[in-house]
Amino acid sequence: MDEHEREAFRGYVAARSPALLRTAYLLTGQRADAEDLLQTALAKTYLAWDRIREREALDGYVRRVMVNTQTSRWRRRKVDEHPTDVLPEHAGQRDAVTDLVLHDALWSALSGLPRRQRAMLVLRYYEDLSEAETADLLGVSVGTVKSTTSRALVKLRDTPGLRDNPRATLPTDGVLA
Amino acid sequence: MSPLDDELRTLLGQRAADIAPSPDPLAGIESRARRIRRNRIAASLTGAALAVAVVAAVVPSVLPDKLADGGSTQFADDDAPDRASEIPPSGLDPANPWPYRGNPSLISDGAVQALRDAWAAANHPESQISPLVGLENKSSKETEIAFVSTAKGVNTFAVATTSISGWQVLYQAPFTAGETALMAALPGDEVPRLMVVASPRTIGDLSYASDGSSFATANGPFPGVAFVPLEGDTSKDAVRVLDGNGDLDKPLFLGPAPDYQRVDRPDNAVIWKTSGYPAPSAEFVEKAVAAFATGMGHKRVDVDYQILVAGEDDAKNVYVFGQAWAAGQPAQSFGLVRNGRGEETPLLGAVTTSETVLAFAIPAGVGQSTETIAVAFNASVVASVLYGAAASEYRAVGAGQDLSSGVVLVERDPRAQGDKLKLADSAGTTVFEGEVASLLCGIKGCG
Repeated sequence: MDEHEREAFRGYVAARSPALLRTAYLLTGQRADAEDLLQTALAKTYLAWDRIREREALDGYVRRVMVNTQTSRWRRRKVDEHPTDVLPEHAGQRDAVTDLVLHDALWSALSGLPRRQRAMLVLRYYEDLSEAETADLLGVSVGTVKSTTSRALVKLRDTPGLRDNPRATLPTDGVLA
Repeated sequence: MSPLDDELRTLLGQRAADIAPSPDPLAGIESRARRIRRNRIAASLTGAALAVAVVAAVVPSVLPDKLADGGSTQFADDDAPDRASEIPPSGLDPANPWPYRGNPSLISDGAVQALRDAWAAANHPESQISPLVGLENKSSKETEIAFVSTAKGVNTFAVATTSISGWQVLYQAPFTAGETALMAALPGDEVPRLMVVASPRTIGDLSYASDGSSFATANGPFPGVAFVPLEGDTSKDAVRVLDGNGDLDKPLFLGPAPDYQRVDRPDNAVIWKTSGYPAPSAEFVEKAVAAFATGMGHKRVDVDYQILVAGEDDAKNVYVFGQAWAAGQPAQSFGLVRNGRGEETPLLGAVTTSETVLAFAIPAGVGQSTETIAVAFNASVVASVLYGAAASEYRAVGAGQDLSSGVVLVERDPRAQGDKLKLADSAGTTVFEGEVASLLCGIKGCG
């Protein structure tokens, strides 16, 4: 990579890493893991920089690397990781106790989802990608995105603490927003 | 938009907003990139060196004498089959495949038998397999085997890997006899990777061009085997195999590399080590799948499936249980039971909701006062199965039955309400607890 391209890469990192770190955090659930995941993804992007012709699609490339990397990490750790019923402490201020309880339960439930279901929710509900964009980024069909997202939401809804909460209901026709 | 949609968007937005940017995001990226690059090169070189040592020491027949002598790498096909006139020297004869390349311990009798059983019971009954390449992932220690399978005139090139749940097929595609290069686009930790397998005897340079024309030699751990990371735009990429003389005018193979496609399996398709004995016949499996397709209103050709548990119980009931799905649909359990009188009962199970257990309701036979629930589970995880009706305590079931088969048969009162199951692993940790109804069609409705 010549100095011009290296400068372009540095510019990209400086401009986009805060947003990408937030996505990494939602994929991993831990700040330290998120930083490590993002650094790995950006290092791989650095190695592939000369081959990436569509620079406007860089965010998509990095997101794809993050999801794939996180997926493989998750797979390796799978036997050691277990969902927990104990909610993590949360230091942030909330408007109401009910918000805190609901969101902590939802966050905990997200942590228990299979990695691909979690990734799809992050891409759909945080990145606001359409079903088609999500399918394209993950290399799956739109139908798979729909069914995976639907199952993830059902699984979230069925989590203790959310099951009977009226603010965690799903559309009865199964059609997702 | 539902309340859960709203809450999820709010939660993700709030949690993400709590994350302050790293003070120096650039720090460490370039050094990590260099480390990744070094590891890739080291892995390639170490693998190649070790491979040559292993192959030369343990499988000397793989390395031709002329190569050892430093001579030409163009070889006479001195042990070619009688059909040599039909199969070119560099081509693959399914009846007499290329010799295995890799550590022989990876294809010990037990390992190959387990792969053969899994492959046969999953989708390819009555097939013969011949390992071509064996590798061990340095970090995960999982074994990856590339092999050819032949059954009833159909030749398949496949790559499978061990996993915590047994053998998992990563790639499979048919090939015709005489092909000079077999290729598989495989998942990788960083990016997908292309595996190219060619003859170990008659080839020289094996190269790859991402743009279809700028070929560069592709490294690999063994003669005639190469791995290439599939990065960036691969729409025009190509593979070229030259003979031992490097004859550019007459490449042994020149063609496009396959695109990486994720195995099209629903997310709720479980990955279990297939268990049960004896392996079902192809006809029996096909009957089960056809019954599923008919029952669900699908065309048979649109249905894919995996057999998870198969066998025969003491009462001479022969059974297969598995999952089936149509493209884009979630997997649901299905099965077929044939009793000692030859009567067959197709079973339709619910859409799979547990990665650990499936259950099937087998209707009571004539004159029988009890029904049977076949509980199929991941035998590598589950060590005990408890069953109970709603008002009663759990009781252990499966006494006298072999839990390692991955299935227990539970008798139930047809009038019982709220049947429930509790499965635990060998440490006594509950891995599933819930109502049987959620797993069944038949006794309770599937909706």
